[in-house]
Amino acid sequence: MTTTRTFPNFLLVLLFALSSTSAGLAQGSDVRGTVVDSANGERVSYATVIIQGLGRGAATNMSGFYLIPNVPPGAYTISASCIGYVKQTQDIVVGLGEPLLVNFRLAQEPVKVSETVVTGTARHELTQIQTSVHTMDEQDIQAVPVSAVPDIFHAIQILPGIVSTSDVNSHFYVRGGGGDQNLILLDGMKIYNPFHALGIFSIFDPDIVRTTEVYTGAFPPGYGDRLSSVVSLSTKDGNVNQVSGKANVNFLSSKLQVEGPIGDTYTWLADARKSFSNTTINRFLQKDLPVSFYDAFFKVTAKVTEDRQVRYGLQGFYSGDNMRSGNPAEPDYSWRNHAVGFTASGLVLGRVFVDAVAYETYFQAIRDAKNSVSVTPASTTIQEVGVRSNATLYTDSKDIFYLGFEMSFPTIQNSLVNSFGVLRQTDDLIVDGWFWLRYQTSIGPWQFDGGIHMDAITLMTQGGSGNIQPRLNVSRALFGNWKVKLSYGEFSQNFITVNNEDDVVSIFDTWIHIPEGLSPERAIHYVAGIDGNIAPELSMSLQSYFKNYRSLVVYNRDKVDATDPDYINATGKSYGAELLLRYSIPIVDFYGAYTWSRSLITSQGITYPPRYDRQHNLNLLGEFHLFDNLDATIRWEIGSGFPFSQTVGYYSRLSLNDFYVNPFVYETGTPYISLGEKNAARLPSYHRMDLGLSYHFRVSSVKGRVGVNVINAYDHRNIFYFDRKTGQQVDMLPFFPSATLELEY
Amino acid sequence: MRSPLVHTFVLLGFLLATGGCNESFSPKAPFQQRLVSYSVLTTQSNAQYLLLYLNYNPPGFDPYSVTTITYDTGATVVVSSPSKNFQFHDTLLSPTIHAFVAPLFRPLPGTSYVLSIVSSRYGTLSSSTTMPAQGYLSVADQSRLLYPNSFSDQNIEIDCVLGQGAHGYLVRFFLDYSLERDTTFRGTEQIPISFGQDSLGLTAPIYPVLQRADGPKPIVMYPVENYLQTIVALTARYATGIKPMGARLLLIQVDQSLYTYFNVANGFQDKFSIRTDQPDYSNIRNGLGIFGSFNVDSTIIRY
Repeated sequence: MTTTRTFPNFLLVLLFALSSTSAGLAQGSDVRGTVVDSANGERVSYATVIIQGLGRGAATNMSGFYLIPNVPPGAYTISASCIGYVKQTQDIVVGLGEPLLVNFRLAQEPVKVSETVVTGTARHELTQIQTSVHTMDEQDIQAVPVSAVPDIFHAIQILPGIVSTSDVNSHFYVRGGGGDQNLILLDGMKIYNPFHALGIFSIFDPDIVRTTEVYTGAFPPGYGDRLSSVVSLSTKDGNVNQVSGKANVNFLSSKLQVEGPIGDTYTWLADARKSFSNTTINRFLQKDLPVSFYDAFFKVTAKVTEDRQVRYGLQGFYSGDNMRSGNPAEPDYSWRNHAVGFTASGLVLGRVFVDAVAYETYFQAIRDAKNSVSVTPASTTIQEVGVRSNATLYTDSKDIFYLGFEMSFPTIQNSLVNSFGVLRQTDDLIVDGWFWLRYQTSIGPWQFDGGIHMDAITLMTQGGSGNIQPRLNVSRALFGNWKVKLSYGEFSQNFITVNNEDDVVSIFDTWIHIPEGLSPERAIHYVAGIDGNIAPELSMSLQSYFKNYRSLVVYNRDKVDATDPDYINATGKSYGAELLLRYSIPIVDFYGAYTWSRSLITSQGITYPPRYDRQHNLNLLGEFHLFDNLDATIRWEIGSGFPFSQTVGYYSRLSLNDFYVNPFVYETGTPYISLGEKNAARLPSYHRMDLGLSYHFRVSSVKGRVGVNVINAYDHRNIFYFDRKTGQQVDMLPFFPSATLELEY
Repeated sequence: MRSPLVHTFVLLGFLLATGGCNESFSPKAPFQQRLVSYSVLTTQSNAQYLLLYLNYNPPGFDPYSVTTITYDTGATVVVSSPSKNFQFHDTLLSPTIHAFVAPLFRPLPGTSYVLSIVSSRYGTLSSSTTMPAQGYLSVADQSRLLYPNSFSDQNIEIDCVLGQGAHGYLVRFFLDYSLERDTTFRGTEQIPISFGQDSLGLTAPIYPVLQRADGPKPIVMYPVENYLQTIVALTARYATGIKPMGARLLLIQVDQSLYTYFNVANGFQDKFSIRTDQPDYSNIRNGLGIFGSFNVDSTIIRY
């Protein structure tokens, strides 16, 4: 199946027209520049730059770039600030005509966990408007209590509305959405399965990540082809000042990262992690963990021009996991990921800042059945090349336009033994294209952020208003730092994962494009929220949401023969509420998030909860600052069980496959498992407590951390995989003590 | 300042003490004993059969650990038509197979039948089926059978007329033959509708499969070439020429329940499906299995 379309380039024409118009109205000069970290030259996203006395300002974008348009001529003091950094001010003189370049190099200062999660006291401009966005940078990730080593996805799973399961293919579910409904971007490159097995780590070493944006719903134009959430990661460029490195070793894995400059123009960064072999783990801890993994990342960045902040980057990412059983009757699994991309960013056309990436991403999962009687061999591969570009247009006012497009060419190859017992192999090339227009403005206490996101290919091939997706976020300041926020958005998704819906727990999902004749999956999000500080040391955020799934793709339960489709469109809904509390005093930072959620799918006359319907989820974490350089952390998560269909009995089932030839009474039947009502039962609840103790030290130019951690402190058995046909059960990480040594020079 | 710490550590102690209690997990619901009933009425036999046995619950998860089938031999089994009741009797068909048999019962095309099973231990089961009405089939141009070499690039067109109540149909085309060196020999060979490859990559005949009855007059095409290849294959098999004696055409029509069960239990007969589930279907109220029917009509063409 191949679809081809030519992408219109009228966007560039429109961009040029808007840029020319806004520049023509100028009455002063633009002040622009970048904000970087003085220690390593990394760009600082979402820093606030303000011209004091003028009441004008701007926030840096993901590239650390800011632009304050049309500043009247005169002498000013301009400051840049960001939590985690020391505020810096400069005196400037703005003339008439040429833009003034003002760069900032901010020095780091310690940040605590209480500052990591955004509510009314948000540091990021972005979160002032959006109901459902969280931003975290490296320091935020480091501040979240960890299992053995810091991890991005463990960190974001403390956010309300995000439910983790540690199932391999979809480690988290957002606001009642499916695991395949989360868009994961690494420097704009799509990553299809960003997790290592057994829920130990995500595949991204947090030390390569500069900034993480997490949208748990109603995300703005610019993000598409997913129904539930967006996690967008921006990586570091590498240290511009000197060659530096970081090493970490713990009982599970070891890692090494080095970075540095090459002349004044280039920087580089290389990072690799690898798990210890099962033999090693077994020898040390007498724990049989049938998994091993590795991941690696490299990046080379060229900073071409200072005034226009033109940068080019080449980055690559690789990861792999193996889950191998010593029992020849139990299947083996392996997963592979890689992504390679070329990025470019910089200021063009005066006030237009462009970010672009051309990428190739690859994901493969293989199930080797070996001698198993209950599973069959299978593999799924998705390989995608694409280009994504976003232009930010700064106008004379505070208003900002965003305009962008994404074109990608995924190839999906699947191999599986289907219900008929036939090896089914598919190989599909699809063309996917999106473009978007976004506008941000503020009027008094109101802030607006909205626009449209368009599924260009589906729109051109099928038409339909659902492919032009309006999205709007509105925020209004109340008293104090309290804000009320409302969001609306329409979303669609053309790529989904399918699996055997009758499995108790599925760890092998197959990516497919929506089958021909079916509508893409569609959802409308409604979100309302309020946040602010109850007391200086206590903040609260309360949000509620409703998602109307106008189209989902599920089993056709009425399929009888080959002329009936495998899948059909269904409808669904999910709704819930999230409460986030943060309490911070000098000795302790406390964080609590509770999510109540309900999801239902209606198909062919029955309504049932999908397998990702977790109704209650509670995350508690605390960091205790016991002494200087000595912190203790506790993290506890509990989630109610996911639905599954119970086994209600077994019987000898006849195939009757030659009923017209031989009397059926002589047929030898095969055992068949009868299932009860669909997803009417629940798996046991998931809960796990992790404890940690960290001591930070410095010896000469070497910084270090020694940590003692206990994962799953009370050794709760959380189910990772269960085969109802054999009773094989694999649990997630058991009680696992670990020690960590981390050195940085 | 100490209060939060104290509270936290009290909570921590509580969680450590209580949290380690693991819930045992089994995907099994409490087992409910149910009867499994299989009966497929057919017009091609004077006796009808019904299997009646119990579902089971192995001690672990291996369904093969239960190796014996427990039959319910004491039930009362009756199939009723609008005009007559047919009592089924428990019979030992083989040392290991119990079946209920109704001798001298040949169902009538177009007739509805109601199954009633009363078991003193496992309750009452019931179901119904309507035997498809009589159908017809014919060869549009019989000269293609008589002089196949003259039509080797053509098709043999078989025209069917399905009876009321047929939800699926299957055409089978047989060649009756004798041998040139032994004219008393009589053999029958099914003609494939096409040829494909088996798992070893060897050429293998493909025979028609049960089709959905989308209209009352389906047409089935057999390439004459397949007919000729069958003759060639038989000649090779017997190392002598064969003498075609005639053609036999069978039209098998199945009712809705049997059609659905057959397809669902056999992977929807869909080799292109990407589904990997194994769903179930039953039209037995209060039980499992199937009560269906099929009607066989034939046309014989003598050369």
